Amino acid sequence: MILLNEWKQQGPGLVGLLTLADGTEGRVVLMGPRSAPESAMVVMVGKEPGAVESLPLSEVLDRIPPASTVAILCAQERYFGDSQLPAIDVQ
Amino acid sequence: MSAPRNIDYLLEEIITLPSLPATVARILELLNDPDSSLSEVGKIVSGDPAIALKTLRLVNSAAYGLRGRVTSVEHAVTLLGAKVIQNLVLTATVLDTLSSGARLLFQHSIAAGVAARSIMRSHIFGNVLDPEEAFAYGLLHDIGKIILEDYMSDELVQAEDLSRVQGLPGHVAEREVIGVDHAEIGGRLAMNWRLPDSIAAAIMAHHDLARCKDDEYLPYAAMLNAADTICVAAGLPSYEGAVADDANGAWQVLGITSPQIPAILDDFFASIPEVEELTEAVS
Repeated sequence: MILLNEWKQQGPGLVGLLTLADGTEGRVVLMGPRSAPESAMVVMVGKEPGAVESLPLSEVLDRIPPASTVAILCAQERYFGDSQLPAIDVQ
Repeated sequence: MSAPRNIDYLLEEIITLPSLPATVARILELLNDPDSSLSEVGKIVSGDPAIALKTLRLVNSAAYGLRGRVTSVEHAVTLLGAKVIQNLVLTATVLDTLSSGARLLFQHSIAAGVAARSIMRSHIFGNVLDPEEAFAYGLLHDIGKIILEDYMSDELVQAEDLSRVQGLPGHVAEREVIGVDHAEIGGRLAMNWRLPDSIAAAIMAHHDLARCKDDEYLPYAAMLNAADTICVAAGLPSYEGAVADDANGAWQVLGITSPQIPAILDDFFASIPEVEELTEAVS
């Protein structure tokens, strides 16, 4: 089951829950079209206790299951892109 | 919810109903005969107005990128070659024969063809399948669902409701309600029609790779599973509120990792206008 099938509106962006391939839990924040730099960020627990790490999606792709990457990028395209895909349902 | 029915009886009941049109059977026979010529194929296609018209509509769509309008089937056959024509004719005919399907399902089937083609264009795991062939696999992958829509529409609606309510992938819900899923029905139908083994195997296993008895065909089934996942995520599912499979096993079979997915999706997103155009062409 793809975990990222529920997106919530947060300001001008979207937020979804993500589980990385190693089991680390985090959030994906989508803030603009795929072409814009740092338009998708992954926020997760950092290495130090209590720390939070925020990284561009492109830098953590190798830690994300492929089906989740598909879900993230399709959501971003449906919300911010111009390829005429159906609009995404947002909670 | 109706009780699951005897699967063998159900399959027997269903797969004996539609038969492959004689014209198509003849075309496939010719295309597989090394002694036949493309002009013979062109003549047979031209002799069936419905198939000829659909083939020309598909040929002239942007998907095939031909310069100038193609107005004769013989010309189309020469331009595109036997393999592409086989897929075109098969696709046009199968969709035509079973055309009571909902528009959403047509659109999904075409989108899956486009997605499968984008996966193959990535060349990540070599040239195991020509992108245009992959397109035909995607188009045909849900023929079992068209059968269910035609012959068991009430049960299919129940299964789709169950899928939405319980968050189950559609094929799992179909097994709960009907006792069999569209992939198995489609695979059996493809075998019954004597379509190439690779197509039948891929259709049969596209939601359950363990069903693929021949490792040679596993990448094709995985390609269809991954293409299906892309379509659901892109908002082009076969029914409203569809739940995607966990396709990670399929991506693993294909040897595709997350850093390679943006390029595949770039190609897919750029091809979205074709989906609408082809939906119009075949519906």
